[in-house]
Amino acid sequence: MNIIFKILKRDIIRAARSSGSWAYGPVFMAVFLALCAIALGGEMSVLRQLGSPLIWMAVTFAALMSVDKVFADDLRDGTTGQLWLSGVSYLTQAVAGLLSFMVIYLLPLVIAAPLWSLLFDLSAESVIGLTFALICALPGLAAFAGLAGAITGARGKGGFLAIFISAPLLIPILIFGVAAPESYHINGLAALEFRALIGLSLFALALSIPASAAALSVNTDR
Amino acid sequence: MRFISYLSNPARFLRFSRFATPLSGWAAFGLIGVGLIYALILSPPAVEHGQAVRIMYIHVPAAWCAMAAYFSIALASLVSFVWRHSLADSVARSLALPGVAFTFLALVTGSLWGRPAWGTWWQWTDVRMMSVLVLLFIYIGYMAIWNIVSDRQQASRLAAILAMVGALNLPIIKLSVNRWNSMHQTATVSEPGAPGLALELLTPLLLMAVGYTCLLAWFALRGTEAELVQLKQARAAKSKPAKVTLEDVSS
Repeated sequence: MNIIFKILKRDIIRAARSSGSWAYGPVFMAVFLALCAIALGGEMSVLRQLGSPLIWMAVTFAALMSVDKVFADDLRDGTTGQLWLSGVSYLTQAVAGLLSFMVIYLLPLVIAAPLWSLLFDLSAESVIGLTFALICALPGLAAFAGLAGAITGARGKGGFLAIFISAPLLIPILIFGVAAPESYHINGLAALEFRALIGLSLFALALSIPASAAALSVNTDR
Repeated sequence: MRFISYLSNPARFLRFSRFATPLSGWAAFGLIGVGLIYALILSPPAVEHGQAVRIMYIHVPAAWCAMAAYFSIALASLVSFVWRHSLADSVARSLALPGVAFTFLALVTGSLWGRPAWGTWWQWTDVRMMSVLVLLFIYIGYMAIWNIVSDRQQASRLAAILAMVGALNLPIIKLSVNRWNSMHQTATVSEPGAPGLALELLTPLLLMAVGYTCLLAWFALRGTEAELVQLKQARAAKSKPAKVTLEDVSS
């Protein structure tokens, strides 16, 4: 547990000194959403309906684009192997990696989502539902993106590979996530979708942590 | 299990595949040929669906074999991951291509069936269709790992991890028609207590199904043979030994 927090602290310090690589995600979201709004003709009645699905797409893409930040740096400079030699298991490293990815790269996306929803003139209730759905899905997104990152490792051509790997796994989360803001109008936080998202997230964690650990071990022994 | 460990020795495997590969290949050719004649000409049109029922003879075996191929990939991946049999990797890798082809075939023919039977080509909210689409994407990801990761041993282990994670999709495909709302009908043939089919419709279906399975076996055996040859060539000496020594080079 102690080591997990040490790795988390190290990653946060490193992100803080990295001249803002954690901010690429929210900025990408803003650019992507602005482009979508322009491409859809800027008609508010259309944008209001498509707002939350588009924000979900933006969050997913932003998460997938920062997949190479999860484990790649440590694998490239040999930190993963060194940590393993000093007794930190791959399982611990996988948990720490997923946790720091979630805090550093995904949390800013969720915080930015309500702001960017202003672009689409969403109602307050939709924004609350959307944000809550994103929070419920956050561990699931982190888990599957992290698994893709662990499998991709430090390879240069990893971007496509990461998308091919995590796209099928993310489909259930997207299905429930996009439906959640609408159900929030009717059932509030008791809506089925939020429970489904939390369940999917737990499931994703249970699946991804051991799989990521196995992938890390494959990617360190050469 | 003893049969599998017996075959995990490449020399024994080659002795087995020497007669098993042509056998499965010709069996697939003959069965699919006869099955097609039955399915397209001899069997009568169905009462409810008319001539469109002939799509089923392509669609159902393709869907069965797509799942069978994925199940075999996951099983072979488990064997290779736990016991490190490198032949299991080759089997899993060679099953990916027919698997993705069968999945694609099942999706396309299902879509052609959906238009006359349900009035739509595709339904995004249907769990059966979505889960089979997910299966197609998982196949693509699995093949992408083999293509992108250059080191064979790493590629096999990483692909095995993905194959085992993706295996959770199989029960979802199977149960999707029973648990959730789906336009797709529930199992007609493959479960005890299922309604079953009339004999003249069942005969071509079973012929095609066994033929597809033989084709799958042929792909697995043939691909493994090819990979064994490739590995052998890679192990062979790359170039002739040098005849010039450092002393001979004039400085």
